[in-house]
Order: sequence, then C-alpha cells, then structure tokens
Amino acid sequence: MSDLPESLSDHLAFLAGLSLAEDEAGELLSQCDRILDSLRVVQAAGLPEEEQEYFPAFSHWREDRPRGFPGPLPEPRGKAWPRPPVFGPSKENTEEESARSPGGETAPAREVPDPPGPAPGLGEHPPPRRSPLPEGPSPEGSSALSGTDLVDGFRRGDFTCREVLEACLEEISNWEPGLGAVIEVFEEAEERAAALDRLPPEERGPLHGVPVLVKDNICIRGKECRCGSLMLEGYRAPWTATALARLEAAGAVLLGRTNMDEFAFGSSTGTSCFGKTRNPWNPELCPGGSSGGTAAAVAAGLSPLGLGSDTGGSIRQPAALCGITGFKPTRGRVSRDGLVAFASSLDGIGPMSRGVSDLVLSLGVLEGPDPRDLTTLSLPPLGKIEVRGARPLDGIRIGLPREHFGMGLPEAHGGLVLEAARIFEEMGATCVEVSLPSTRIALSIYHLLAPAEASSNLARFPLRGPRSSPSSPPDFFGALRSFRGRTFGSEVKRRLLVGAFCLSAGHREAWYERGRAGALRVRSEYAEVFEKVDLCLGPTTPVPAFPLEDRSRDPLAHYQCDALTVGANLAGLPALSLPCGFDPEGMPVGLHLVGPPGRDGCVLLAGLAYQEGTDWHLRRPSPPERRRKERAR
Amino acid sequence: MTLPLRPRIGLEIHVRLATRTKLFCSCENRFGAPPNSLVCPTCLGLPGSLPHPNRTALELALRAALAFGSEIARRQSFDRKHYFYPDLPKGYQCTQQRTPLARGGSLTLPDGRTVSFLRLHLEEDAGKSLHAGRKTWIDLNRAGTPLLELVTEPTIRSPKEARLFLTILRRRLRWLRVSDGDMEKGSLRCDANVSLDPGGARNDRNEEGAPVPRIEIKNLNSFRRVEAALDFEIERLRELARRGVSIRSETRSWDEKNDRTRHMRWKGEAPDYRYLPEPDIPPFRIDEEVLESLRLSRPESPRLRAERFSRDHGIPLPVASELCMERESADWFEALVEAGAAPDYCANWLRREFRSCLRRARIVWDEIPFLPGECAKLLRMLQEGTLSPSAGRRVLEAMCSPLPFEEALARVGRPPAGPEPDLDRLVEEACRRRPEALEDWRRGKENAVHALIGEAMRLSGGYADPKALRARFDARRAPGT
Ligand SMILES: [Zn+2]
Repeated sequence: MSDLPESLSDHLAFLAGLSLAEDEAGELLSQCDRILDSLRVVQAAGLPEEEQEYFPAFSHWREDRPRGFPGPLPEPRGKAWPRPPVFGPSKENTEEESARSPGGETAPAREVPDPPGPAPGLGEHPPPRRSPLPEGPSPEGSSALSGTDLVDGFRRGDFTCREVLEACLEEISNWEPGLGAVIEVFEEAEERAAALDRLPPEERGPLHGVPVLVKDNICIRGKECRCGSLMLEGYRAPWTATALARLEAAGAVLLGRTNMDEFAFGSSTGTSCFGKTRNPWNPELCPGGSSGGTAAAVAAGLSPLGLGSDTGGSIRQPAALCGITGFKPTRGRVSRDGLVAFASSLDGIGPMSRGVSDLVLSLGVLEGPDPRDLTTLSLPPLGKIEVRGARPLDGIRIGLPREHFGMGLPEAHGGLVLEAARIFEEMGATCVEVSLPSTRIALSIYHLLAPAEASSNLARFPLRGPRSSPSSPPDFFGALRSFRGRTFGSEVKRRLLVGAFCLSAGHREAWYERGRAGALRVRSEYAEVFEKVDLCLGPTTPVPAFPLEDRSRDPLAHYQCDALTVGANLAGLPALSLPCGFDPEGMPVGLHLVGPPGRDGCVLLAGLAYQEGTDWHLRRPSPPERRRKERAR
Repeated sequence: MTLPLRPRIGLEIHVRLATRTKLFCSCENRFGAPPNSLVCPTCLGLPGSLPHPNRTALELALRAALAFGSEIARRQSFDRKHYFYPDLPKGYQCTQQRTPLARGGSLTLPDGRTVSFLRLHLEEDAGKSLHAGRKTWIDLNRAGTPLLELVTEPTIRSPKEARLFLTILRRRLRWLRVSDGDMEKGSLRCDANVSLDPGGARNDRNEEGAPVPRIEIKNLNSFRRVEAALDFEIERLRELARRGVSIRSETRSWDEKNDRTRHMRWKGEAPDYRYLPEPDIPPFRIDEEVLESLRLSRPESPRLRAERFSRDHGIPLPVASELCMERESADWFEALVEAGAAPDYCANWLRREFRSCLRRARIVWDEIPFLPGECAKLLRMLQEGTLSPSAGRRVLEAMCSPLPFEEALARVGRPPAGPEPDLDRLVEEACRRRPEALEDWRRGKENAVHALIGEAMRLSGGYADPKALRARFDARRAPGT
C-alpha cells in the first residue's frame, strides 16, 4: 500500500484475521490501497462533528426474566392468524411457542390495507392506461399475477394456493438452472399451501397463499442460511427471522432461497459460491446485487413477492436492473432480527415485487416494532394507500437533486427519468431542482463505514472454529487466519482488510470517525432538502446493467453502481426503485424515489400513482425457450 | 542506607452482577449448569442474532456507582472490542470500556483511609476454555453474563491493604445485592497493577519525567493470591531496583503452583482492539429521574444502618457495626427485634450463638430454613431463663436440621422424661468438683459463681434451670453450709 509499509499490510491481514496466499496478497492489497485512496475525499471534505442522538435508557431494554431465546413471537399486526408450520427438527421449542400464544386469541386489530385498484381476473391484466414511450417488451407469461391479484383471486375462489404454488414451481423449472436465481426450493411449501387451502375464509391472513422467495441472508428455522458463502456451509438457522415469521403468520408461503453476492458485498450477484445469477432480460448481463437472486426471480415471474436486504442499494439497484419494484423502508420500520448483519447501522430488510401495490400489501405485515431488534421504531403504521382522482399527487413537491443526474449517467437513462418527472407533474406534483452536494462523497463515506462494520460482524466466522487442514498452522489463531483466508471470497477479503484498516489504532480517527461525521452530514443535507420538498426523484443507478464477467477486476468501478442509493442508507430514509422505461439495448431503467424518515407512505403513494398511469412494471422478460426460438428465427 | 521504595498498587476488579439473565439475552446467568446448556443464538453469536440488553444489569451497575459516590455519565454507549479467541463467539466483546458508565467515587476502609475509583463500567463476559490434555473444550454458559468492571486509582499502599480493600468491597457489593461476590464461582475476579513510588511531587513520573514502569498481574482469583502475588512482585521489583536493573512495563500472570509471577507480554504489545460503536444498541441517556428513583430505592448504607440501630435500640455502636457488616445479619436483627426480642440480648446472641450455629450446620444466611418469628420465641425463652443456653443451642441446631420450633423444643429442649433433676445434689457435686471456684466466690469474687453454675449445668446435661441453681448456690455462700 502506498502509505502503508509492507509490514503494515501484514499487520492489516493480521487484524482482519486473514492469512493471504502469496499469489493473491499483492493484488488484494494494491486494490485495497486504491480503494483507500478513493476514500480520502471524505477526509478532504473537512466535515464538522455533529451531535449524535441519545435515547432514554431502559426505554427499549429487556426485563430481567429468563424465557428462552428469542422470547415470544411479536404479536402479528392485524388479526391473529393460525400459526405457520415450523421448519426443522427441533420439537420442544415448537410446543413452547404454541403454548406461548394460544390459538384463537385476537391481537389488537388494525385495518389491513385492501388491495388497491380494480380486481383483475386470472390471466388478465389491467389495461395499461398509457405507454408514455415506444413499446418495450410486452407483458406475457403464465404466472404473471401479482400478489394483490392472488389475494383477490383466492378471495373469489378462482384458484387454490396449491395451484398458484404449482404455477410458480413450473415457472422455476422453465427458468432454472439457467437463471441461477433460486438456490433452494422448500419441500414444505406444498404441504403448507395445502394446509392453507383447508383454512376457512375468515381465518385467512392478508397474504394468504402468496409465495415468497427469500434472500439467502435471512434466517429460516431449520433451513440453510449461507449468505452465498462457503463459510456457512452446512449451517442451519435455529430460528426464523421476525420479518419472515410475520409473513408466515399472515399466510405467506415461503417458496425458497435466492442467490446473492457473498455476504451481500457486491452489486452483481456474481460473487456467490452458488454461481452467478443472470439478468432475465439478457442472460449475458448481471442482474445487479446483492439481492440479485430475488430481483431476477421476481422479474422472471418465479414468485410474485421476494424479500431482499439493502445496505447500500442492494434491493433498489438490482430491482432497477431487472425492471421490478423494490423498497427500502425507513430504518427501524422493519425488524432486522434474523438478517445476517453486513453493516448493522445501514442494513435493512425490504420487499421486492413487480408493482408497488404488492409492496404495500407486504409492508403492512412486515412493519412494526420488535423487541428482538432494539433499533426498530414505533412509527405510525402505513395503513391504506390509495390513489384518488386524476391528480393524485396534488400539492406534492418533488426535488430533482442535480448531482444525481451527473456521475456518468447515460443520456437515455436521464431522459427516461426526466420523462417520469413530467408524468408526476401531470399527476399534480411540482418538480424543482434541489442540491445534495454530499452525493459526490456519499459513496466514499459508505465505503468507510460499511467495511468497518462488516469486519466486525464477520469476526464471528467460522462459527465452529477453524477446520484444520494439513497445511494450516497448529495454533488457534494461525489456523483461524488460514481457514478464513481460504474460505472467504476476494471481495469479502478486500472489505475485511479495508474495514480493519479504518478501525485500527492510529487510523480510526482519520478514517472511520470521518465516515461517521460524513453519514451525519448526509443526513442533515437530506433533512434540509426535505424542508423544501416532499420527495427526491432521480435515477436509481448511474450504471446500466453490465456483463457478467466484467468489473470483477476493478472493484472501484463496481462500487459506482451504488453511488445514488447509499445516501438513503446513510440517512436511514425510505427509498423506492421502480421501472420507468427501457434503454436502447432493451434493458430496464430504474427510477429512484426517496422520502423523509418515517414518510414511507408518501413514497409508496407516489410510486403507486405512477404505476397506475404507466405499465413499465408489467413488462416481463421472455422465458428462455421462447428466447431461443426468437434467436433461431 | 536507603529506605525500600514504596509500592503503589491499583486493582481492576470484575464483578459478575446478580441478575437472573445474561447481559444481552434471556439465558440464565447461573453458575454450575452442564456445559453449553445456558445458550441461545445471541450468546452463541449466531449470524442474524441481535443483543437484547438487560435493564436490571444497568440498574445494578448504577446502584454500585451511586453507592460509591461516582459521577455517572449522562450519555452512554457500548463499543465492540475485537479480538479472536476460541471462547469469544462473536469475535468481539461488547463493553463500555471507552465510555465508562461512571468515573470517580471511593470506598472507605475501616482504618479511615479511602481508596478512590478511576472508573466503573459494564461489559459482557467471555466463555470458558477448559484444557484437557491436547484438547480444549469451550463452555459458553458464561458467555454474555454481565460484568461490572471497577478500576481503582493506584493509591493502595500495601498488598495487605489491597486484600483488605477487596474484602470490604466484596462485603459492600453483597450488601448492595449487586453481586454474590462468590470467588469460587468466579463472581469476583481481580487483576492488579503495581509500581514502585519514586517519591517526588508527581508520583507517576520519575525524576526525569518519564512515566514510572508499571507491572500488571493477571489471573488473581482469590484474595490470598492477590496478596501473595503482590508481595512477590514488590520484592522482585525492589530486588531489580537494588541491582540497578531498569524496570520495563509488562504484564505478568500468577503461577499458583510455584508461588511466583511469570512474564506474559511487554507493554506496547497490547493488541489493537479496533473499537467500533455497537450499532445494535443505540446510545442512551441516563436521565435525572432514573437516578432519582435509584437513589430512593437504594439500600441504606451499613454505616447509617449501624448508627440507626445504635440510636433506636440502644446498643453500643461497635456491636451495631459488627451486626451491619453483613446485610443478612442486620436484616435478622431487625426482624427479631420486630418480633419482640430484646435488642441488646438479641444483638449478642446473633453475633455469637447464632453465627457459630450456622457455621456448625454449614449453612449460609440465605439458606436458613426457619422464620424470624420462630426464632424470636426461642430467644424469649432464653432471655426469660426458661431454657438454658445449652438447651437453646441444641434447639437452634435442630431447627437448622430443619425442624419446626415446637418439635425441636419437644425433642431436645426439655429434659428426658423422668424425675426432675435433684438440684441440691447437683450443687453439692459442683462445689465438690470446683473447690477453688467456690473458695474464690466465698472470698468475694462475684464472677466465680458462673464457673460453679456452669459445672452444675454440665452435670445436669444442660437441663437444669440456671436461675434455680443460682438461688441454691447463693444459699450456700456462707462458709460451712
Ligand atoms: Zn443467550
């Protein structure tokens, strides 16, 4: 490293708990050096120290009562639903749990949002009211229903949960293994769908029968949770994440696990030990990441709903690249319990689906404070979100941050986003230019904080201690370093090295602490902008979908994908990405809406209004065999 | 001849808090369970688990800080302290080391000297490594249990004083119910640091202004070891100083087998812990209302309680202070007086009879199987003289066995069925066996009669009525009778 002597690079590998093979060490360290170099802009920015927020002690703290992890399941919002089946071998806890929440008990009721819009029949779609731009690929396919369509269909008895599940499974068999998005289909799903079919209508939850695909970094009891890494080979989670438990309690069917970048470090879903995921719109291109598996699967119609996690844009960037809708809620709205931590202060779980209406449907279930996650907040529930009249966005002010339209954004993309802004104006909103100067350094701030926290969160691996190999050193730490060095992928190692450096003695003030100040700066800048406007609108990513093999050599270019999304994570804001057209290569382009903290409803309303007026979100890629035929012709 | 250099000793004490559950999860905080039986995803550090901090742990730590008069930080947070070790499942320890819960405060020793604290803070404990042959086993029952770390100023003057300080501290923490202070269960562990005082105005720097080298000793798990290790170390340092060898700061550990300290590492080799603010526990405020309610619920200090006993019940202050050395004995005193026992008699009986009876029965205060009400009945009989002291002792022992008071009294408190003991014969026999006591007594030595009564009691097997015996001895005081 340029300002680090050789011995210090050894020291870094030592701190990060890695031993690096000779053939990779040189390249890894020179890449880290370049990354660190790129982060100096944060130091140069001369950010002031800002006040941190302190919460009253005890307000969320646990009472000193033994009751076994993780305590009773948080009450489901809305009415009480029958308990979902429990995966996995452990029996005694099942009884304990059912004993804790006796069936039939009614939880404090809250209105569950009705699916908005007219109820379409099976196989039909609402006729697009307007196609603002020349035709892209047209909507087609057999399981093209959205979650809200499904809920209505079940209500009318048009189909059963099993039929829907089978349609999804058929679609998975059409696309996989070529797509590389779904890495496991749960056997229990069929049984669960059959059980749901037997439920009387009054006991059905708001997500009755809706299949859900889950990113590989969210825990499901008894199921593998690999985070796309060899490091977690054979690991099965002993409990189900709060978010998933809530989905299941609302009647959702967990369908399977989806691929992701190793430990969510990346923007291509190309670093997983399960192989690369392809973009369903063009198999030569990547789907974005790190929730690329869920994004590709939802785009291809393998499931109406998916769950992803977002630390710097990991839901929104792949959603944009795959032409679907993805949402990162306000920090604290959805519990992080059971989400394998990457950068704990930035992480969040969020839903991904074709349209905003499904996001609203699932968020009504996902949201709410959770005693298992101290950072959840008691925000007012989303409630019902309705688009009313011809000018549903009357009085809403939308800011277009001028910095978001630079940064190498292709012209075609910028045009599509500005066109979307025009549509918002037609719906009653006023668009003004605003400025978010720290956009320039937001990515660097993110890359100071995220690797630092990641190096801490990944210090626990391997969970059962290092497995020794003939070549590994005899002492514990030596064997540990050697095992971690062999098992983690190179992107993980890069981030662990950078993170260890940013936190190391003598450097943390100049690096990590600057990153903290930077995050507070980004937050206050957004707060200033939100005094003038209700929403910020821009492109989701400055970089169009890129080829599968590209970029792995140049981590810095790779990081650019997140340049426009990290701001919402640093400031904890709700942010939505939704499709707004196709570029000349026929690839979808994403529109990014960011709102003030807690105003998730406003962001979703704007997205819903936009999708009622356009049909970009209904376009679907052709399944592989059709594409083959097209190519033959 | 030069005087030997005086030592300056500081202590770093880890106290396991007396909570029911661990610091960040609801697993039981208990010693002695089968290995790895008190664990959950959070204390195992499984991916996806989050900390759930325990409010009682914070309350206990604040209670200790208030009792020592420390200044409590209004703004608090936890940090992650990273190091790789087999019994540290997350690869980091969650601690307030960088931003301590409280600073300052002190504890007064019986000789009036005070030892000041530098800081107090909360942190989680690691698991335990058990080495067996070439294998190491990990028990994570202890992982995540709440610890209060107390660091004193380096102002303790001798190993003996260090030991005394620890004894008083332990007693105080037990009094406050902050910890059981049980060293065998690892509830109280201690590291010590020592340097030789160079004299002069600034005693942490030598004449050239360089910091005085400091030796840290780890792994001191009993008060005796603290004293022994410090004695050894001070002697070693003095010897080095005598030989003119320059002393370097280092960390040493106590080798119990060979009664000596051993080098672990030089100062400056301390690991880089890469502190990171714990992102899963938002920084928190300690508001004045919280402190106020803790102050109100705080237990009376031993000194104040002893003064109150002395004032309200008319017992001498030294006696009251002795009663108040342990919270339990003070509690029993109050309960017995409440139940009608005479304070002065009760105080003496508690300090002697009661305590020795507990010791013989091998039970601690918490395990006493009877209620103060029953005990007060026994005490009343003893005071009235309707039960002899030795019979009282037997009854108390039976109650500890445990038996209800009435049954214990019926079994061992009364003479065996049969004729009443012939008191005159007992008195005669006692006088025959202890002529010298009789002689002394007749010569006017009043106390000598107790030896006679005691002898008669022994002869009766403890069943005779001491008052009746006294009357008969009085009748025989005049010589010739
Ligand atoms: Zn636990």
